[in-house]
Parts: sequence; C-alpha cells; structure tokens
Amino acid sequence: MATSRRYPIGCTLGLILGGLACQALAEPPVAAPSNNNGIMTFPNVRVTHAPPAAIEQKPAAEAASMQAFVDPITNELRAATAEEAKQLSSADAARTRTAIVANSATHSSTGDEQLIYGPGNTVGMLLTNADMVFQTVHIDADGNLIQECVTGEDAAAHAAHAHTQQESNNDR
Amino acid sequence: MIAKRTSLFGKLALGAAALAVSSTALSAATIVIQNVNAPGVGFNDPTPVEPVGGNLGTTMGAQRLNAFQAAANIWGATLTSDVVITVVASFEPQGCTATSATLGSAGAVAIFRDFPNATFPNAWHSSALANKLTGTDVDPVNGDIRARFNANLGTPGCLEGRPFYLGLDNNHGNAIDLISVLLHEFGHGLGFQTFTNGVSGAQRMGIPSVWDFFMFDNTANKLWVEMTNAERAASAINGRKLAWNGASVTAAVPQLLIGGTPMLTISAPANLAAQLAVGGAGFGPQLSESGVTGEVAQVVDAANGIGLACTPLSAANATAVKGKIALLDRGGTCLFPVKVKNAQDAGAIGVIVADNVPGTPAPNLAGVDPTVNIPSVRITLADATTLKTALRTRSRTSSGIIAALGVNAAIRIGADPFGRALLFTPNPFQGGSSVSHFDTLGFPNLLMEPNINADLPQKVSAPQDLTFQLLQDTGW
Repeated sequence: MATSRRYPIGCTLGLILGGLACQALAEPPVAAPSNNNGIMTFPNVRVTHAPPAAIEQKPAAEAASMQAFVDPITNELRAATAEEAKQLSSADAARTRTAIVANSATHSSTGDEQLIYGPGNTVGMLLTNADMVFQTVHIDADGNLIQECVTGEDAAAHAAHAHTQQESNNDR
Repeated sequence: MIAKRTSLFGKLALGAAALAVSSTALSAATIVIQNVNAPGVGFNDPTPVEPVGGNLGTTMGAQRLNAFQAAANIWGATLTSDVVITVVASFEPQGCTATSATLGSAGAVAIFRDFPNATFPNAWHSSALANKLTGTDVDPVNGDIRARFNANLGTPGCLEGRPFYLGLDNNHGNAIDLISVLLHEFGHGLGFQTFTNGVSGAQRMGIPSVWDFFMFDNTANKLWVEMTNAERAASAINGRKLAWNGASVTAAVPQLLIGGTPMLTISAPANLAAQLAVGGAGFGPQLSESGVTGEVAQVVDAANGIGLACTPLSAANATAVKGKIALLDRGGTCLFPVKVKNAQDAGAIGVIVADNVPGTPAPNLAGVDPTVNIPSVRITLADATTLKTALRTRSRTSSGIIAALGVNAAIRIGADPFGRALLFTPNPFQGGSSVSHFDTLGFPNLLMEPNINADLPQKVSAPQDLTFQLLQDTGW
C-alpha cells in the first residue's frame, strides 16, 4: 500500500527559472504500477503505512514522560501529586497517545492539559476532539447538501442535526 | 486608529514582505500521509471501483488515498517548510443519519509556544507552523495533523447515495467533493484557527493564539490580544465587525473580493441616517451602485401591526406602497418571493423584509421567482424595530423616511471599509463555526468560509483564495 518514492523539498527548477512559483511547476500526478491498485504519486506528498497498533500501543510510561500537570487552582505548571500521577497512568493505560488527542474528556480548563516540552523554552500542548474541526453535512428542505464546518465533537453532533439555521428556498 | 497602530502594522507588513520573498524563492513542503487504517478498511478497503475524474485508483481505498494525496499536494506546493508535515489519517465510521452526517474532522495535533523564531513570543502556534519556523520537528513523537473521515458516507443509513466524489478534477456535480473538504480541513490543521475560546473569551492557559494578534474589532478598535475576556466574547458575536488585520491577506483582498457590499442607506430623517448591513435576495434584480431610492412605506395586514404580504395587498396597503419601498415582515405561510411579488404587483419599487428573530447579520432571502423585477433585502430584527418606531408617526401616504437599496462600491464584499477580510461572527455564536472562518458574505466564495460551497476552485492561494495569505500572516 505504501509508496516509497521520495521527492526533494524545494523547487530547484523554480530557482533556475528565476522566481517562478513552484505551484505552477508542480509535477503532474502519475500512476504507480498497476499492481498497486492504481495508487498515484504526487511531487509534494509521501505515504506511509502505520497500522493502529504502531501508534496506539506506546507504553504508558513513555507517554507519561512527556506529560506534566497544570495546577487547577493556580493554572501554574507543577509536578503531579502521587494521586494525580496514578490517575494519569490509569487513564493512559486505557487510551493511546493518539486517543489522547481524540478523547474530548481529557480536555478541559480545569488543569488536565497534556503538555509537551521541546528544545529550549518550547512548551506544547496536545489538543483533543474539543479542538478538532468537524465537517458536517445535511440535506435541506430543498434537497440540497449543506456543508458546515464546526469546531469540537459536540458542535458537530449539533450541526449535523440542527437544520433550522440553514437557508433554503423553503425558508419563510 | 490607523496611526496608533503604525508600529505593529509596519512590523506585520515587513514580515509579510519577507515571507513573500521567501515563498517565491523556495515554495514547497513535503506532506506525509500516515495511513493508520487496519488492513481491509479505510485506505485499505479492497472494494473494486472504476477510475473517476482522473483518480486512477482501482479500489475504494486507493481512490481515497489518491484524493488525500491530491489535496495534500496542493498544500505542499504552496507552503514552504524544511520539515515534513505529517498527517495522521484514517477513514472510519463517523456519526450518520439518513439525511445528515459528519464528513470528517481534522485539526492540529498539538500547539506550541516559546520556540525559536516564533512569530510572537508567548503565543500558541500550530505544530506544523512551529516546525516550519524552528526548522526542526519540535515534537517528533506525534504527527502534526490528525484527519479522520467517514468511511460509511453514502451507504444505507448514512446519507445513502451521497458518497464523497473521489475524482481529482473538481467535476463533482451535486456530490461532496472530498478534495475541497480536505483542503479546508487541512487549512485548519495548518493553523487556520484560534485556540482562544470564542464563547468565554478565555485564552488557552491564559496565553493568546497567534491569531489573536491579527483579529481586529472595528467597534472596540482593539486586537483580540489587547482585549479582556469579556471584550473578546462580545467581539465574537459582533456581526461583520471583526476583521483580519494581516498585511498578506489585505494585500490580496483586491485581487479576489469584488467591490459592492449590499447596504440599506437611510438618508432622512437625519436622526435615522445610517448604512445598514442587509441580506440580499436570491431572486429579482441584483442590487446596483445606483440602487433604488424612495420613501419607506409599511404594510400592515396582520395582528400586532405586522405586514406579511402573503396575499395580494389591500387597497389601503397598495396605496401606501405605490411608488415606494415597502417594509414587510418575515413570517406567515408564504415564501419570500411571494411577499415581494405581492408588493411589486401593488406598485412598490423595492422591498425591505424585517426579520422576525434576533440575530446578526441578516441572512439572505432565499427563493426563486423569475417574474420578480424589483430589488429586495432583509434587515435584522433590531434594525427593523428602530425603523418601525420611526414609522409610527407616518401618515397614510407619507413616512418621511427615505431609503436606498443598493451596494456600496467602495467596500469589497466580505471586507471591512479598510479593505480587511471579515471573519465570521454571527450573533448568536455558532458553536465552533464562529471566528475561525472567513465571513460568508465574501464573494467569490472562499475556501475557509464555514459552509463549503460547491463552486470552490480547489485553490488555496490568491488570486483565487485567501487561505494561504492568512497563514502567511501568521508566519507560514
């Protein structure tokens, strides 16, 4: 399934031609060998295959080493108490690193943000389904497909079923 | 106001100029689609399919993957980054009914602050942007964007018969073009989003998003980063008053958004003089710069002093509106074109429809009737209340209120009077759609409006779109 062709970052030809935008020079997609189900290749894209097990079964300890606590009262970063660490470990055992991103229950303003530390003073925060952007669609009274983009799983569930806000030729 | 902000504007302009030079010289990034579907499902679905619209895949999974790649390739050819952008992607079941569905979701996996070369210190940036600015992968453990799309779309019980169009040629007809949806969702994942709460105004952990340095409220005369939580919450529902104050977007607006914002201009009496934002009509003649000017006359044909105009106007109402602009009310059992046609038949030269529910901005008037030949607009309930209060002192044949239905050619549609693109800030707040999109008024339609329109050209950059220009302002 996965393709292995690599394309260099950059646009050498664009530089040679003196500033032509690379977008205009992008190579057209081409078909890969027919024994590959017609999977195509594109100049600025690579495909890798990582089955769920590869990203969803990381040891909880590894995940915990990348995490920190924010005090729910002071909003300051601090070490987790033993009880908090136990709760986090328990939670991590029940979900994957990827699932942390997907689990809206882990996101709130009460201090359970999952923080990441990078080089220097870099601080990061893993986001959750509450931050994901959902695209919903419904059929309006005129039979038209109405697409709507909303942020958060709850908003998506509401948007997919709340048809009254949309304009239609049957609006009155 | 402008002079006060010269310093900040200057910095932003210089930054945008430098970025523009950079992107011309070396405009490309590599996007990795990390297929996390298990064998036999999603991207690995072996169901045989016929090639469609330039998509050469022969299985459902291969066609999905080709469409993902095609969308990623458009972004990859536009962005500049020395660090690969990893999209962790899957097709899997999502919420569905027979008439509605979640198409999919996407977003940044993580946000970062205080990394080297950050656009602003102590501000949240998307993961992919942080990588680009630092030149290294600040979080090599996790991907940069998570994308999940609905594997069941078009099957029984899940918008049956309306699957994704997987062709690459934008020839989707009435189907849902997966590439357009992906371009939009990838845009959010790349950083087209504030992480500040639009309802409460609270910043994430008390720290602003890079977006908050560019969102300027024309009522408060402040950037979001300068506001209190309460001010931000008010700004998020300040209809068509919140603008994107970035040099790259503002420079591109004239290349794209056409001139001529629909307006209802009240010129008399002096105490009512105003330019009111309106919703246009999907029927009847287009509003013009010269417009239609006349005295406003109110129709009254129902309880509580409202005028529904669902039936031919009475003699008294016809006398009142003849040669004038009729003020009608939304509601009743008839469609908007019926109301307008009844006013037209009574001799009205234009129609103002007063909304009957609170909220801003006023939506357009939907409907079809090729026999309508007078212009019509919708105004908000609040504006209608003001107008009706003034109309209480009218006589049977004269109100003294002079109005013009037309367009303000000096204001581009979807931009503010200073040429800055407007953001989507309806009142009431629309859960998640508000703020982190361009306003729906923009024309031609923009990729990052909350409703993905069927006429999008599969482009992300000017002169066909403004999405990349906004990302450039944030540091891309």
